[in-house]
Amino acid sequence: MSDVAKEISILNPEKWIDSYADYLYSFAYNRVSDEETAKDLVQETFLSALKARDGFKGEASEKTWLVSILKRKIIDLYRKNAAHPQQSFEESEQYKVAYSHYFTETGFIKGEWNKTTAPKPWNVSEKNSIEQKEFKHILAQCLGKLPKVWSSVFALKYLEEEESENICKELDITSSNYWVIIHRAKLQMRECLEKNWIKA
Amino acid sequence: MTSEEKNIAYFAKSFSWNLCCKQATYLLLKKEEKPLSFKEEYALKFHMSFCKLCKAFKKQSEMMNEAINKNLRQMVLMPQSEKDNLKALINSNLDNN
Repeated sequence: MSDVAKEISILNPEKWIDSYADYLYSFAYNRVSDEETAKDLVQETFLSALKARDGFKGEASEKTWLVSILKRKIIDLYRKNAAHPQQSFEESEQYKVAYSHYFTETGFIKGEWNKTTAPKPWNVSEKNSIEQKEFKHILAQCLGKLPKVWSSVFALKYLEEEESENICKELDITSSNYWVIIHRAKLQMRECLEKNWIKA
Repeated sequence: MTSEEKNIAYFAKSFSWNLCCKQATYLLLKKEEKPLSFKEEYALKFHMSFCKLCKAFKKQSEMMNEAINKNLRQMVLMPQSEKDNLKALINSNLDNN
């Protein structure tokens, strides 16, 4: 028989919360680092899914389908943050650490590491290994200290390892702007981790 | 020009063979995602052959990538009260249809 019944997924909205709420919430929380926002995203995802459920063809699994809706919502949020940052311009500027904090801008050799902010060796021991809960907390805190637009770029970079070209398109920034943001965000993250985690 | 634009202009101008640490770390991060030009690649290689600080930065950058990727997969439970609210919301939407 050529017409073998293909496995078609069906939706069970009654079971969504029990089956997927924790998974979707984790997915969102790990990418927006804020409980309220994560909660709202999950709620919007379920509501959109309910509205769109007649269009569900059953080709993907229920879970994959829900995750794809959530992902779209997260990218929309990043894009909104990039276009209309919740932080005012002044606030966002405050969060930005100037390049001159990390690299010399005067003197004979420009662009060398400043002595005080240059990388120090990280002796990652059992105590402060990156597996530790404490580290995850500090990592989230450091991400939270970045200007909103930067953390959007940064988060998108790690969301499903999005290509830089796509990120620029999503957030409407030029590619050289993208690399400068990644550079500055990473410098700032590195310093924040070194200050708060290695010495903890 | 804003400081942001100045910074972009700074990196957009062609790199010389003799990189400073600011340029080297910029290229290191770019290289994590895409291949560099021939000239960038060799200028970076030369800089990395003697610069201990940039070597440390490279290692730490890779550790951060690993940590962030791991972090994206951690499980966080949604508070039960929120789940109850959502359940009620979904059920009320189902009843309406």
